[in-house]
Amino acid sequence: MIKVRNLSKHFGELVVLKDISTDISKGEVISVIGPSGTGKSTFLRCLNLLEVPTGGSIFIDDVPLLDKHTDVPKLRQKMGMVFQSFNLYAHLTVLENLTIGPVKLLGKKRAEADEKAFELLKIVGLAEKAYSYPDELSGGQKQRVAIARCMAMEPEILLFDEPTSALDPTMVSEVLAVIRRLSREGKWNLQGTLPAGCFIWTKG
Amino acid sequence: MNNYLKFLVLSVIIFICGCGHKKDVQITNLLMLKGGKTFAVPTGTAADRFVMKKFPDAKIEYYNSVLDCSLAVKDGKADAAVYDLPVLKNIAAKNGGLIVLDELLFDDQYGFAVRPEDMALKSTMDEVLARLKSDGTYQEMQKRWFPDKGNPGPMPEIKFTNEKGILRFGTAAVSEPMSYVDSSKQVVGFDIEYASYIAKKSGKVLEIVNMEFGAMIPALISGKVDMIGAGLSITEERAKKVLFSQSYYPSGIAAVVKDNREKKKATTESRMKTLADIKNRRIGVLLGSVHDAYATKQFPNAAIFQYPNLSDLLFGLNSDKVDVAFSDQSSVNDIFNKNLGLGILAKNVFTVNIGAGFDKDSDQLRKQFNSFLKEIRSNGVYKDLVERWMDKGLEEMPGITSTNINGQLKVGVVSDLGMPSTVMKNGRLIGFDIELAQRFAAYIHKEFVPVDLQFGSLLASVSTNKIDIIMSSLMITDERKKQIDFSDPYYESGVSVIAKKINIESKTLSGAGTPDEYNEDENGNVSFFKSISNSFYNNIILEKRYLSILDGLKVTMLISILAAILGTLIGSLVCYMRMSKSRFLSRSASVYISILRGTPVLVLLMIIYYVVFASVNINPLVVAVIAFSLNFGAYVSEMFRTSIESIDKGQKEAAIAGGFSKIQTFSYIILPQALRHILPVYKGEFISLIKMTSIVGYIAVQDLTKASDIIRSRTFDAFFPLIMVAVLYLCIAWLFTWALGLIEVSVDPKRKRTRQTEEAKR
Repeated sequence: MIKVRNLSKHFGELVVLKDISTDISKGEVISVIGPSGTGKSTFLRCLNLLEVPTGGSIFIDDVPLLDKHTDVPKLRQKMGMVFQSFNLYAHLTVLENLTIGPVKLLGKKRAEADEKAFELLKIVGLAEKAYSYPDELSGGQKQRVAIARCMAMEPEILLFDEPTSALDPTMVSEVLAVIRRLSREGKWNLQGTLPAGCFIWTKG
Repeated sequence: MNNYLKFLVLSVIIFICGCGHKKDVQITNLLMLKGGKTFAVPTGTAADRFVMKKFPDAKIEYYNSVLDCSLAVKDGKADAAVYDLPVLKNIAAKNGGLIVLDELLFDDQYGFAVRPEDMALKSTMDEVLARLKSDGTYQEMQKRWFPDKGNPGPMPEIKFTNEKGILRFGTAAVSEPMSYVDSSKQVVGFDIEYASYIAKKSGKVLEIVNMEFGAMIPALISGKVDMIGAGLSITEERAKKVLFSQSYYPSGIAAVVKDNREKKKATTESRMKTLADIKNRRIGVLLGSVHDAYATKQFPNAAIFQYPNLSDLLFGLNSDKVDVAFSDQSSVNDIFNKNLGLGILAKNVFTVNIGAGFDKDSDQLRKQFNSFLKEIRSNGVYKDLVERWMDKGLEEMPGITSTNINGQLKVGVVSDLGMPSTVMKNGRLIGFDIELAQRFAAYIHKEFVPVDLQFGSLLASVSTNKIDIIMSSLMITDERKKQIDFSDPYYESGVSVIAKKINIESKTLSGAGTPDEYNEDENGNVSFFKSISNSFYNNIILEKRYLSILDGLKVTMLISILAAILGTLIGSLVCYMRMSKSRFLSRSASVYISILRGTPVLVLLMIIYYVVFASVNINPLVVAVIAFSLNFGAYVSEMFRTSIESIDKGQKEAAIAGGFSKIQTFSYIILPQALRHILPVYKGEFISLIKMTSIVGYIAVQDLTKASDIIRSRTFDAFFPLIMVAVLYLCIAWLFTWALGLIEVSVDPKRKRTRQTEEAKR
């Protein structure tokens, strides 16, 4: 599903990623581990082209990501990303955060998008916060909304960039519980222990 | 809403209080000097002690001389000056504008002194005094040395018989009018006259010994002089050493205050009689006029004040900002009709020829104009024109039709120049120059198109071909000939000097009213509301002047709105360039912003009109919109940039990662949030744009401000049109603030929520 070949990334003189090649197939959960500053985030961000690699190639479902003719935004719609700092849209309600993508990008009807959004909010346990604004939520709640926002786009790949590292311990468990619940109800396959830090999760 | 109302009422109250004629209260007694008033006293005298005793809370300022003290009072720097009564009386009489209070801070008696053993002289002194008082000489002396106005003296000639030798009189000739040195270097004064009578009575010749005040008593005791006196107070201490005469003059420490009653009536000396009297005065002229050059050259010692238009000039004259004003003789009648307090000082100072102005390259048009002049001069049209406008001062404009087959004739006029040249009546331009121009347009079969300019912009406009011809009572001067060509003169105009009647010596006033007839009630103190309603009628209703205001309002709104829209677009573009990754774009945007923000918009406006579009026939309204858009754009772009940069990068990344394109990210995520930051600042910037448009009069656009100038040129009322225009600007500003406020609410997500939840409930 994801094919990485000889991927490298330099920031000026600094070599962050060097000659990385890997294959990730459907249904896999890949943890990227290593001490801080080793390029875990950069690797993830290269996969959806938030960072442009210096060399090598990436294929998503055999589509070359770095090809000029590739419709990158379209590919990104299939790959959700959860950030360390949540990055909710501050001017939109929780509900709108979940529906803006499906409505504007997938062309869904508003009612349909709302229905799906409420369903997801119920899974993450925040249905009653649908009309709240991001600055009215706690950190854990924000991250749960961010995950729900990704799920609303019905992605095939999820990129988690240290989703729990900005939260205090009590909130970490609530976020992890949500991920677990999603894997059950969203027919995503997650077996064994829940990975921490950066991980790539593909739909089975 | 309620708050707005309160604010409005409050401002009106403040305003009314502020504009009511504020009169300084006339101080008439010592009681009124209580309560921390400022006193001027000469240094090194006992005057300050008397002040502190009487007024413990007084503020005391020290001056070098009594005269300086009195002048400080006259200039309003101090409330009162305190010193010896005779000296103050003398200064008040000589300077005017001052009143010596009758009540004294301290009573005092002046006496002459002789040696204690000289009883004979003592009795002579008292005898003489008694005789002077009984035969009326004393009253004459009072009048002579203490006149109500002007200088004391002169000293009468008194013959002495020298059968018994010499009487040496010691005096300190430093206190006018008691004892002082006059202009012919003679020691004279009240004391000297009295001493002369004593010498005469005792059959001696008076010899005056002028000495220091402090040396007088020792000189008397040691026998150097026989008698002393120079405003010498009789005190117990002195009486131990010398023998005093009876008091010959009741004096004391007095206070002098400013005379506010005389404020309106200038003293005889300060009135002007002839043109020569203005050489040290403040002279008002029109900016860039021939008068300006003339006054600067002829009166190098005068202060010349340049005003942009006649109504401002007259307002300056009426409010004593200038003493005299130069004006065209032809306008004088119109001015006097509307300004009862003004009179003529010099009717015809010099004459100049008036001609039409042309660009150096339009010889053909100039020749056409000259032959047109010849024709109307020969067929009587010209004579009729002069008679109606110049001599009779009629304000009727005949209908003149032109075939318009040869295109347009753009005529540069100054709509607020005043009668008889050019004025706006019933929303139409009329006047001598206008009629002449219309007739000329008809003569060459062109359409008459007036272009309303500031007087100072006329020459620039014709040399850049914005207009074809200047018809605005333009005087022909060598200086101007360097820039433009003139037609043959079409009128010879005299230049008059006018001033307030009260400042003109009455003999000089020809015909209308003497200074005394000018009474204030006629002009100022009519009941406030009546004068307001009169003003309203004159400035708004009469001659449909509201039409000017309405047109001006439309133009101001149009320029503001178009410039705001266009400026916002330019601002967005510049902002995009500034934030672009391309160094070239970003750099050029920075340069644009710094240039546009660093240039006054008036200069920009003129550059665009006279330089950039110099040879292009362009509607000045368009130029105004362009200039203001460019300026507004520069400010707005920076506003946009800072707002956009204030949105955190994470949201942008989240949107990009979520599959939004760059444009979608900007319009769905960044813009809605940036708008909330932009709007409050944008509102302020927009309001200042509206106010900035008030300068478009410079390039021949009749906006709201220009409309008030036009009305003022008809009514010479500075107050009402300005206030009304100010109120209208305020209203426009308020309207737009309110409208933008609505938008502000609509982009505030929190306010939107209530609406959404309601929808959801349904």
